[in-house]
Amino acid sequence: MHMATASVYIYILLGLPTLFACTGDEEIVEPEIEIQEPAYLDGEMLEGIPLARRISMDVRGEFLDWDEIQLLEADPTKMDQLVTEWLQEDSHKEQLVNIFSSMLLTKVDEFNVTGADFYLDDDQEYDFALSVGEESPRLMAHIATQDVSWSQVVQADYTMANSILTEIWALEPVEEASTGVDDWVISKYTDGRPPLGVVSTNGIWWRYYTTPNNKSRARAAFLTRLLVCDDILSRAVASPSSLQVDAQNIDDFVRTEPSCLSCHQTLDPLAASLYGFWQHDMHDVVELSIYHPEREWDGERDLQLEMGWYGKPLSAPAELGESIASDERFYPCATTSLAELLWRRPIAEIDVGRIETISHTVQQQGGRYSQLIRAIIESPEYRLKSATAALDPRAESGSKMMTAHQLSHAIHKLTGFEWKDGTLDLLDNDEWGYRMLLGGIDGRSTTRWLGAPSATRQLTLKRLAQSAAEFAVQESIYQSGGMLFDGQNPTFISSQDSEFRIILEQWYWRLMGRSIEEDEFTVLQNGFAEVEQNFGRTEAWQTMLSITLRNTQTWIY
Amino acid sequence: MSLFPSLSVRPAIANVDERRFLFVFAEGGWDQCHLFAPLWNNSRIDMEPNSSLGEIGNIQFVDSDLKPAVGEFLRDYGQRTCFINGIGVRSVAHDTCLRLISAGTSNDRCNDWASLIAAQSQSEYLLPHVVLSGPNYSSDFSSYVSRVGSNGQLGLLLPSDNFVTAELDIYEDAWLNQLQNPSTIQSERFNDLHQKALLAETNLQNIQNLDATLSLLDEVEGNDLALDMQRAVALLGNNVSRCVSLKHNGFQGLGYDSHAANAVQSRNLQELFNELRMTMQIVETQYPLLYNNLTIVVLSEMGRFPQLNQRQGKTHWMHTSSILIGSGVHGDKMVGAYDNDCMSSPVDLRTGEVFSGGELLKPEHLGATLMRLADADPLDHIQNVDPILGAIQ
Repeated sequence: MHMATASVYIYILLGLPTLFACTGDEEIVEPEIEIQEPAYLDGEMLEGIPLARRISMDVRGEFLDWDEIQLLEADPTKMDQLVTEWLQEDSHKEQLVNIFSSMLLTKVDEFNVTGADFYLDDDQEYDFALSVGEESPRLMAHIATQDVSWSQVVQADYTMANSILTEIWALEPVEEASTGVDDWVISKYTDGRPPLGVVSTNGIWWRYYTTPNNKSRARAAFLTRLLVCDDILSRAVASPSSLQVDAQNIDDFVRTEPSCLSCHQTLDPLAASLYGFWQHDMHDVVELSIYHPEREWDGERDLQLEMGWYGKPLSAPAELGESIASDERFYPCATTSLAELLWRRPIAEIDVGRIETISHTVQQQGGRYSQLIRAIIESPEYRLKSATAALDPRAESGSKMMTAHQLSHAIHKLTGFEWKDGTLDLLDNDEWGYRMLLGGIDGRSTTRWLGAPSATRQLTLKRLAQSAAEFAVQESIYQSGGMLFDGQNPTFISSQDSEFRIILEQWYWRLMGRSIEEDEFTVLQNGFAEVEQNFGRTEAWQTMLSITLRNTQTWIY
Repeated sequence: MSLFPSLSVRPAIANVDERRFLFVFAEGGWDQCHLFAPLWNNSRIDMEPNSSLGEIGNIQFVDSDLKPAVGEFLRDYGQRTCFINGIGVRSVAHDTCLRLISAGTSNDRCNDWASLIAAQSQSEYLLPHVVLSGPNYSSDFSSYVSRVGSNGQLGLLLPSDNFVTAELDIYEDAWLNQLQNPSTIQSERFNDLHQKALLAETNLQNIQNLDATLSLLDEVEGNDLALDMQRAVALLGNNVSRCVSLKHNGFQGLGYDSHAANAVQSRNLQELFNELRMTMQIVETQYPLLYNNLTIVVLSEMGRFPQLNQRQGKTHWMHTSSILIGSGVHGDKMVGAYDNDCMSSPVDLRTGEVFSGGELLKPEHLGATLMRLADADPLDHIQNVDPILGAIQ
């Protein structure tokens, strides 16, 4: 029997050397929990409004409201209350959808079938791909915001669906029916699929399809990477000892050839449990859309082994969720994956104690994902402004760049501007839009958020800022004022008016979390007067708002 | 002080002698038995049907009537071409193999060869590395990488007239530049991001003027590969970029991942070599300076299992090849080989010849070779890897 500390699992997740390695066939035992102390982090921490600004951006993808700034200025202890409120907002759920999308990589522009295959109108193609791509991350986001254990993510007996998914798949709403593409409601599949939470969603299996030769192994590898952070595909594969293999008997070969066994003894039993999702034709809408209970045991026949999860036999696919949730790596993996995105850097060896502590504490307290988010944003690693030791790998968290989704959402909330072509959200699409150009991911060729500004990112941001600024100023003129102009029509405000300074002061607090410096005010005031003289006052306001949105101190947080 | 009269945009300064790189990805996994591995008379290996040995100079290849373009290319440019055969990629998963062949590691926080080279340029380029299509890994060097969008939508963002007047657009950039001098003490990480943003923004006006060079929104007859190759040549030939990456989607977009109907490999290679030849002709006649310092790197992340499956396709194989063409390349040369099991043979890196006491080629060797060609420092995992000297001059 193995005795292991919790650290062992984190070390394995991080690919760090340990004296303990799970080969997949030994008895799985509960580790003797000895939590490693988090490593001390010496550095300057964010506090007050700058910290609130960072949390607001990560939790809900928004800049602070003017009311929130005033509240925090008057009483800094209100931060906790605000964070609690933010965690209840719809924007928080949207931000989680973006976070989980980056883990799942399901938001691709194309699947093996199109909306036309379901007799949807041509102008619904974008909504079709978006709906399929968002099913799985929306289910994860829903579970993450409920008062339930995160283990439900692999055990829930429902999914989330909008009007398009309800129309094309065997789904029925649990309560109210969806009223549109943006209306996601709890729904249940009616095709007899097992209650496996995200594992039972069509969204992931349309993205990670399988082929007759692959036999669901790529799907199995996706699950181990997502849920227990075991990236089997990244393992080195040794060449077989020779080519003494008949192509028809390649399954026997991978079961006996030592160079294949290390991966396939884990992959194949798991792959065997996924045959209910098997599609005989990857371009057939019925094959793809419907779960096939009658095929659940085809995997055992096809792969000639019993279904299982890391050496633990499964008597039916329905047991898979319980096996994953009880895997010692499940919570550490969830913690690692989220911390990596919120700390915006790779998890290093020095983080092991922190990850372990957070993971263990959250699991002991009921395992809710909201607890996990709280614990991570309360960690010193998250609140770091600058580390004392320049070479400390944690220093990278000191400043973060807004993602494409955060820019899109935050600027929309701030100005009301949505960059659309018809129904097509140009910042949530790569076929015709600018998502990847702004630093987003397409789920295939780019799988991580952009880490530093590039020329195309800055150009896209410039065009976004110009468009949003024009929209906001025009709206404020024709809708008689707006949030950005203190309720006034900006064409009535010149650079010499006292209102001018008030507006700029509010912009700087909201966007940068600080007061405007006098030299900055002078540059803005002079520049405004010059543009006003050469182009007009409306253009002056538009340009000034645009450069404020483009300012590095706005989008670095 | 007004910004209007004094406004000038700094042009990029590119050393025309610095070697440029065009990376072409045959994404999906090409079949070595259709080009690189002449292994007939072996019952365990299914070769391209109706194929025979082609030999032009010192380069041997699998020839067939379906892909005469291979021979045509080698007749014209074989003297500048080197086949590197038998690179072991130690995986059979596309994502992993793509990272391995592009960056020499399976870690998804990595930097591909093109980004590494672009980041270490001695000259200043407006867009050091442009990804026209296909994969890109630039964990540490993303600020050097630019994308154009799958339908060239960057072209819509370039002209300022689509957003504001050109004059106001120029003014806006200058105004922003004057404003972005943070007086408050920030973190090192902030300063790093800030400086990279400033650098990108300094060049924005010049980048916007690339509209005509890139012709991103032009409807041009021909396949996507031809169009991307033309754009790549324009970027490299006009000193806008040091590296350009693009992907060949295969004949009629069918790709190289031929789990069924492996015959598509012949069509793919015909199209690929036809476009490579056309590109070389354009460069040779229209960009003589570039012709002397352009290196084309053709890659595929994996090979294909030597035997056909029931659907006349082939599964994945962990041995592949790459092609180097042009500047700095030891032309008319084949490095390495496939053995009778269609696996990599060990190679003497100095000569490129098969040698029983040599090394099995890995993507890291290819990376070290490219770094040598680029006069760039190999980083981290390829720091102690020897280049394939037999492949370069």
